[in-house]
Amino acid sequence: MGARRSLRKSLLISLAATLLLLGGCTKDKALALKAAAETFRDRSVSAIDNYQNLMVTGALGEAQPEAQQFQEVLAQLRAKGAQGRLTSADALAALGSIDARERQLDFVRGKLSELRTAYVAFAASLARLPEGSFLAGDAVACAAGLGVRLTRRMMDFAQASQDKPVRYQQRLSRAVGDLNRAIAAKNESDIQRAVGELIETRKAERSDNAAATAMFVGAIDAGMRTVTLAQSYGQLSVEDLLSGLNQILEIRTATLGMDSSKAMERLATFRTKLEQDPALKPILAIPLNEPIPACKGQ
Amino acid sequence: MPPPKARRSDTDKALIEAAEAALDLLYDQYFASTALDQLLLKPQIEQAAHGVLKARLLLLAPGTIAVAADLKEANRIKDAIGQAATAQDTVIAAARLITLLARFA
Repeated sequence: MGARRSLRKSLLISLAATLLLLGGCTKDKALALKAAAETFRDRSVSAIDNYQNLMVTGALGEAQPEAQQFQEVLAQLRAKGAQGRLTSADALAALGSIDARERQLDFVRGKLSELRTAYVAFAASLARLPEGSFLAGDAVACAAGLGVRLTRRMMDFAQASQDKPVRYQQRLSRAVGDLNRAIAAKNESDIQRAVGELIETRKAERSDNAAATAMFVGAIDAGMRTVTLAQSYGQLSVEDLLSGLNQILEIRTATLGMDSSKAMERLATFRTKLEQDPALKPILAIPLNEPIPACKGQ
Repeated sequence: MPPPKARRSDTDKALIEAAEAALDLLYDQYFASTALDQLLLKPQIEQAAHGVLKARLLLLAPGTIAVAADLKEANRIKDAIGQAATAQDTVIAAARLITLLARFA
C-alpha cells in the first residue's frame, strides 16, 4: 500500500513538474515575444520623435538663446516704434518667432500621434500574452499582421529620409547673412566665423540625417525580427525566441553609426524580403487602422 | 493586389525642393533685411515654413502630393521671391507660396 502511494506521489510530482515546465516554457516564449514587440515599439517611437525634431530644426532652426531672442525683438520693435505708435499686432509679429519652433513641433507631433499610438497599441496587444489565454494564438497572429504594416511604415520613413534629406535652411541662411555683413564690414574674424558656421551646418545636416536613417533602419530590423518570431511563434522553442530577442537587442549597436549607404543596403534587403513574402505581401495593402480579415472583432 | 509604391514620384520630390528653395530665399532676405522689414517678413516666413513641413510630412506616407502644374507654380513663386525688390513684394510672393502649400493638407 505504501509503495503504491509512493509511486502515485512520484507520478504526481513528475506530472506537476512537466506541467510547470510546459507552463514555464509558454510563459518564457510569451515574455520573449512581448519584449521583442516592446523593443520594436521603443525603437520606432524614438526614430519618429527624432525625425520630427530634425524636420522642425531644418525649417525653423534651433531654439534661439533667450538673449538673442530679446535682442531681435528689441531691434524690431524699436525700428517699428520709431515710425509711429506700436500696436498689439506689431508686438505679436515681433514675438511670433519666440515660440514658432514649439508651435510647429506641436503641429508635427499632432500629425504623427496616430502613428505613434499604433506602435504603442502593437506592443500592448501582446502585453498580456505571458499571463496565458485561450486566445493567445490569435493575438499573436493578429499582432504579426499589424507588425508587418508598422514595419512597412518605418520603411516609408527611412526611404523619405534618404530620398529627401532634411536641410538646415534657417541655420544656413543666418550664417550667409552673417557672412554678407562681415564681408561688407571687411571684418576678417567675423568672415572666418561665418564660414566656419557654414561648414558646421553642412556637417551637422549630414550626420543628423544619417543618424535619423540609421534609427529607422534599426526600428525596421526590430520590426522584421519581431514579425518573424510572431509568425512562427507556435513552432519556435524558448531558445529560438530568446535568441531572436537577443538579436533584436543587439541591433542598436549594429545600426548606430552605420553610414547611409550601408543603411540603405539593409533597407533594400528588408523591403525585398517583406514585399516578396507571399504571406505578408497581401497584408501590406491593408490600411494601418483596419485589422487583417482574420482579426476582425478582436 | 499591387504592393504600395516603393518610391516617391519625382514631381513630389521636385515640389519639396522648389518649396524649400523658395523658403531659402525668404530666409536670405530676412537675414539681409533691416529690423523693420524683418518684422514684416516674420509671420510670412513662419507660415511658409509650416507649409514646407506639411508637404514634408506627406512625403512620409504612401500616395502622391503634386502634379506638374503645382511644380510649375512653385518654381514661378520661387522666381518671384528671388526677384522681389521690396519687403512688400516678398510678402506678396510668400503669400502665394503659403496658398500653394496649403493645398497639400
